Amino acid sequence: MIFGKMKNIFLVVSALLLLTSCDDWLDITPKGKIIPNEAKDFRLMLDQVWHNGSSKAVTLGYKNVLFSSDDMEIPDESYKIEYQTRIQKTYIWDDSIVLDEEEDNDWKYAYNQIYVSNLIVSKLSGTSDEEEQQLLAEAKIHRAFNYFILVNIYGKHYNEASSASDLGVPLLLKPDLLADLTRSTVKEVYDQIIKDIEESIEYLPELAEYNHRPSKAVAYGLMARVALFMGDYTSALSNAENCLSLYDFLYDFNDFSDNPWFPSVFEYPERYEDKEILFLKYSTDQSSLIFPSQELVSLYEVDDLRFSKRLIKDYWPPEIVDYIYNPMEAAYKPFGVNVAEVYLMRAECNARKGNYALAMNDVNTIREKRYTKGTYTALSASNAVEALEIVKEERRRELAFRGLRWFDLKRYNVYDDANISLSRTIEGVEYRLEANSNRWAFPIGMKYILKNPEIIQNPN
Amino acid sequence: MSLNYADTKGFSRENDDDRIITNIRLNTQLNSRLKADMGASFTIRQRKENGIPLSEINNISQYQSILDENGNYIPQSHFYDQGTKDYAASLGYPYNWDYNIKQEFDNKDNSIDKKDVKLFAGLNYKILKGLDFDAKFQYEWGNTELEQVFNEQTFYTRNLVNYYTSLDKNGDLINSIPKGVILNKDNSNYKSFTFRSQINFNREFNDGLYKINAIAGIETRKHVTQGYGLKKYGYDPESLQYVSVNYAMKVPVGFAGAKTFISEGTTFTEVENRFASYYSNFAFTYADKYTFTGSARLDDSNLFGADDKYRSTPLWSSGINWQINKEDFFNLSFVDRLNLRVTYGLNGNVDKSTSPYLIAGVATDRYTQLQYAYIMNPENPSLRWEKTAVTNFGVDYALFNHRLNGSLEYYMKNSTDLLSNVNLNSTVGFSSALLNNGKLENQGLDISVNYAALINKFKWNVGMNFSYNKSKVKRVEMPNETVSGYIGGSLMEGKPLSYLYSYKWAGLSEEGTPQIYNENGDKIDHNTTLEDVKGLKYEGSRVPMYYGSLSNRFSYKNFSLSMLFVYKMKYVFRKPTISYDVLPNQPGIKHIHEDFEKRWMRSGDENITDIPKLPQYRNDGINYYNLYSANGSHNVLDGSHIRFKELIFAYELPKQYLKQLKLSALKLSFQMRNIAVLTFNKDHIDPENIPSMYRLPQEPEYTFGLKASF
Repeated sequence: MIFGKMKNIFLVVSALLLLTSCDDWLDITPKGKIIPNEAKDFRLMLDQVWHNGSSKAVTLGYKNVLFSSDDMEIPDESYKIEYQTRIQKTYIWDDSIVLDEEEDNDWKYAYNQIYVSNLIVSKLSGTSDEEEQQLLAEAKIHRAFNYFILVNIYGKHYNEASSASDLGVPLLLKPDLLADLTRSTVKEVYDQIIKDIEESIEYLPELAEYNHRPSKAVAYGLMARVALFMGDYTSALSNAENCLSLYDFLYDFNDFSDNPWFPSVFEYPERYEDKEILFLKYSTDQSSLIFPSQELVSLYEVDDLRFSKRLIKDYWPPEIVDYIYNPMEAAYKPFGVNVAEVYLMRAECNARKGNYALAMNDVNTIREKRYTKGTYTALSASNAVEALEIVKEERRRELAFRGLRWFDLKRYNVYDDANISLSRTIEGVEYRLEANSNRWAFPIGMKYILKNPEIIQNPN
Repeated sequence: MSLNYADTKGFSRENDDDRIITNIRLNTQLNSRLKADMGASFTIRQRKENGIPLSEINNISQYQSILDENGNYIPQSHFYDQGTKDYAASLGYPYNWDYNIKQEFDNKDNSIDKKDVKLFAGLNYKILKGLDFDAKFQYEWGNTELEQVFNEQTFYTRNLVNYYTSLDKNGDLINSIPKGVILNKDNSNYKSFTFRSQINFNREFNDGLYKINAIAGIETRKHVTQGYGLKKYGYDPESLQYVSVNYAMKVPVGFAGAKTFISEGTTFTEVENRFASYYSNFAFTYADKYTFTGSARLDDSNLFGADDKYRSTPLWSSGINWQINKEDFFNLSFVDRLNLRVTYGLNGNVDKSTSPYLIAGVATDRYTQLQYAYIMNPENPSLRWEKTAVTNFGVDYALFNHRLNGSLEYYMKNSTDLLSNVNLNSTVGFSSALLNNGKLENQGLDISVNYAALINKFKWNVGMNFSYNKSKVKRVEMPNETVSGYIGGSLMEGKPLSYLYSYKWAGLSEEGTPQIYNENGDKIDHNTTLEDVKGLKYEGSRVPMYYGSLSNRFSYKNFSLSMLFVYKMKYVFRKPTISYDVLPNQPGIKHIHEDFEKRWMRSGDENITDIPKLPQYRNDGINYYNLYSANGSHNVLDGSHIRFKELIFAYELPKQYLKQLKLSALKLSFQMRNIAVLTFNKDHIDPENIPSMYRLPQEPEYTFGLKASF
């Protein structure tokens, strides 16, 4: 009797044993972790706006060029105390900026985002699903933006005559930890940027719900920037127009209220809610003090709210420096595409094409919203050359510390024969950057070259 | 059945840990073929964590007074500076923002309750002679409940409420977190099921000429952890009510007009792991002298992001064992046992922290409130098992009626496809990844000798262990032949797995700045990069090459005394020193490394110290200032040491008294641990016990024990 019962138990146990040996039993998906494979996973990856784990955010921009341009003038008293060694070196256009063992964060963060884009492109290429096509397009826009920044920091400015031989940056187009890192030419990088944007436009929504997500307006705005940098003013103009026809909102600074803690500045909208930002990319430097150069300060008029509410007096003892750029705004310095920039691109193209009245219209549209009510008067130009000068000045005023001035200097030297050279004096020692210097292209971090000698360093 | 109670005091006052453990076990023979075995154990544990942890001690400055002469709390610098705190108070902020460590200590109320239950049942069924079947089932359950009550005196509550207070457009205060107690509660539980079925075969043939021992089995296990946590503001422990706050809207915080969401503090966690193992062992003995063994095992789990090929790890080995002393030709009568054995095996190992596929974590962004995914592990399609082949030669011996016994073993391990953290070029997207990166060879020797002496009633047992291990990397697929690679310890051919290189220290300059020698023997300063790895000095292995222990036990009648010494020899370590990344004169710096006292201060000091002078500015073109001095050869010390690890003195009550007390045994003991250490470096630093901001020096421990058995 008992033996019979036991026999049954034995059989049940054996059956259990067989069941448990199934592979299915081990195939469970953990909670809170994914292997990105489908649209909803890539949506999540493209919504990362703050660094976490091994990926930086899609909103991360750059910082080096903030300190190399002529918008910045650091007083002697602050130079050694306030700034990291690498910023000190950037400021004087040194031939090496980071130590052999250090990372160059501008380079590193851009390539980290490129990896994410490459991953999504490699998974979604050739898809016919509408949602996936949009995600693929978003990934390509992020990739285009990052390559655009990289090629302009580490390469010479785009020049029709030499871009096919000027060195750009390594052009990685798929996720590969062991990729060959030979530098592509400036032209190859630009060609890829244009290809990525062109392939994306039709799949993007006209406007995006969040400013870190690419949209058609972003793609046109970015394309206008790329064309402008290539000296193709016809294309830049039509892209800027396409962008503004989708979205042209500008804040009237008179509507802002004072910050309750620091009434000398406005309470600006938060970066994620800033309606003037089309494409949010913020500086990787959130803490360095920004000292405006005297030249920049002298461009503003007293009634200009961009002056009175962005540059703060009395922050520093007056014998050291007069003004400092609003640290609260400096902390989020948006470097992506914004509406005012697109207006100014349209204005610049019109001026260059001789439509100087149109150019002045755009300049005045911006100025009207930036001056204290009742003090605004329209600017006018009597010819195209004058208009271009006004547009350039307005561009400098409006886009101060938005990460564009350095690139503009390089651009004017190529397209306008501007012959701009820069100089700095620190504790009596003068540093110069000649218009034809090789240092307009930043040195590449030695760490990367030591690891992959196929990366060629920029000449001194 | 047993009952156990333990009360452990933590290193800080008001840390307390009470534990009660019960065990029950039952065995029954159900019939001639079937045996059943079952049991249960219950543990109840209550902890109070109201002491001051080291991290909180670090909040206050060195030499900071805590109470004034009347016993009042003195405000200590922590978080905002005192001026800002006073300013907030003048604006009418809800709470005083002062911090005092004694006030923290007086107001902590953290408790942790743990309950664990373990139930198991087993059946053993005899099928045939020598063949039986074992089934075992085990269920475990445990629950941990953590409660933190932050009353209005705690800095946590005062700080949070104040931080969520700001000015509105009109300059009026707005306060988004209500005043009152803050409650944190966390609950987590685990369930674990283990099921094992095994067939055992033990049989002798031909009157014991052949003997076979074999087992084969399957074990499956499932482990689930679940938890949740909550946080409530304005909590009233008496009425159990709390105040609702608005989590859906950004509210102003701090002094700059920034806005953020209030932390909801609600969390959910769930992790499930499953394992399956298939295993078998086989031993065949001939004439009680020659044994052939073989074993194989396959471990599989729900390792995420892996195909079957990578997920399950195989292991097999085989060997022979020869009992020489049983041979006819062997006639040394003082030898009781002499075995020779040789085994060879192979196993695969995977690192569970990596995967051939890209793995992403999911979180919610605190600004956009959008869910997002971040990369935890990049894609690595070429990932393979790390494989290790082990060859063993061993001798076991026992002499003089087993009074002298021990073993001697030589092993050789060859690992291929070694998994190591490889520094990548960040251009590919990441600065490091775990990759298969080379071959490693390990050779070693383990010797053990035990001796027991008996002189009248005096017993002496001595045991000695000696080990030697040498590891050598044979090949590196992605070498990092740069100065930073050598200093950072990247895998390198011809070197041990863990080695140390340093800069050749050239002392301080006449200005008190660090200097090293380059590859040509010339002095270079901290603004010059050392580019050639030939300028570096190889210091040796970071893990001991020789190590072992010596134990002694003396007993006389009912008294016994045991002592344990351990030693580790031939390795080096880097002595921590001051880094001027932060300057001691910077505001907010609370702790300064003691080396600061020994720094270069005036001309001539370079002859007596290696600690560079305080730089004028933190960023004053400092370049290699800290790197050269921290990683210089002058900071590398010999790690060899001998440690007096343990001493136990015990007394057992003689049998004649036990009966009267109705006990089966009563033992009194006194134990000392970490008693002393003998080091061989000039600074007398114990390499395993370097105190820091995060670690208190190890102190000797004393335990008094009373063990009664009924």
